[in-house]
Amino acid sequence: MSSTSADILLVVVVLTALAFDFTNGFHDTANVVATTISTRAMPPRVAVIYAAVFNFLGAFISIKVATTIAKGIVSTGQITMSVVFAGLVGAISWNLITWYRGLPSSSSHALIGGLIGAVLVASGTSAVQWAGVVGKVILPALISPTLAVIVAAMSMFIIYRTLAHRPPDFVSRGFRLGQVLSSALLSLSHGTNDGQKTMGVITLALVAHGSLSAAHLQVPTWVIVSAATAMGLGTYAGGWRIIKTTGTRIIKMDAAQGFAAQGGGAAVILAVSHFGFPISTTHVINGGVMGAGAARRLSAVRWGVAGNIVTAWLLTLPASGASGAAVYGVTQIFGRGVTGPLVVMIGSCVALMGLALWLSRRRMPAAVTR
Amino acid sequence: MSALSGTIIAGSTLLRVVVGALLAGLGVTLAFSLLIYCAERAIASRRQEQRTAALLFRAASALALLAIVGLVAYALILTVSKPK
Repeated sequence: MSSTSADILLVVVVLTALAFDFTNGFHDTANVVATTISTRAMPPRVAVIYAAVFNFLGAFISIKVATTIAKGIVSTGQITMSVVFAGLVGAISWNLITWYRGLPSSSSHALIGGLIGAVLVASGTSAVQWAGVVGKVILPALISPTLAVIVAAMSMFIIYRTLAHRPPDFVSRGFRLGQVLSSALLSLSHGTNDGQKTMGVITLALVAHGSLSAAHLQVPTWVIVSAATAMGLGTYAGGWRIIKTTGTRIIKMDAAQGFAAQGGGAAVILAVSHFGFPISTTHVINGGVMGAGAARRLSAVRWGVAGNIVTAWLLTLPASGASGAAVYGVTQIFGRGVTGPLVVMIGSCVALMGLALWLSRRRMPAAVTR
Repeated sequence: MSALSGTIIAGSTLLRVVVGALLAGLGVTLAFSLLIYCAERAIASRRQEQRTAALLFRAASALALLAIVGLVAYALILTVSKPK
């Protein structure tokens, strides 16, 4: 590939990565603000702007997760920019499908699945670091939502034991104020973990392009700033469909439950980010909501809705993997150069515009935005 | 074999994640619940003109607030620092 083609391909990959970050913002951050909005701790628009600011700040806190994404899941030596591009398009597709269905699935697993699918088709099974996938993706994926359920449920137990005989109005007002703090913490932790995933992917593309050395991997500052900005903008756009599912459909939430779900979620995400695991913040937050609901009584959780969400979680890795593999296959029809990714990008943009037009003619869920 | 050892290393780290998340999550919730409890008792005591009790509850709620700020700051410092 000529150097001009490689440069154009790098620009295409970086733009696609930022588009993924934008979808991550409105898809995953919907979970972050859902509890704040449903308990009326903040008005919807204020909650979304508040979360956008803290997501932006969170992306600057640490780059451990970015390094894991860039080094620990697929072999950097066998990554090409077409593979990164296909993985990103696979992840964006799954994000859009689950957003349309109002399902809070994991953008992180969509990204990792998309990358694995594309690299499997491009270089075979040896290019995937299976130990990394098991130890850094699958195990944390199982443990983190379970841990969030436990922390949120135990938090509710503490709240009930401490405040059972206090005036409910005072307690509710207190926890609504508390949610201003827990929401900030959750947004910050979300930005810390999720903002870094796009940074990791852009870093992978820079290594594949030859702009960065795989041996001395460092995330450039412009990558951190652009990823944080894309996620902040996506958050501001808001994902009202998912807000409705997480905030009102799983349980009917009060302020104490919202605080317990957010506080538990933030604690899990910050603890996990400290060790550089790219977990799904979506799984953690929804786990927290289920735990806070189940602590009151098991029947308080709408298990049918929870079941749909868990099914989407289980499908995310294979579905986005298949999508990433298919997109890689399509790009290769046009050869190994920049033509394939350009055709896919233009085709996807046209399809998205058509979809947006079609959706604008349908009534969007209004109850939540009111 | 390398896959297995990689998983085991991650397993021991995950145990630290579990303990850290439990301590942080439950610590903040306990401190915040105590803050609400003490603040409400301080207001109630003042209404009943029990000045000493009101003062003590106000001091306890200030301590709970300090504990929350401390826990949050510690969690953020830990996130930024490198794991040992």
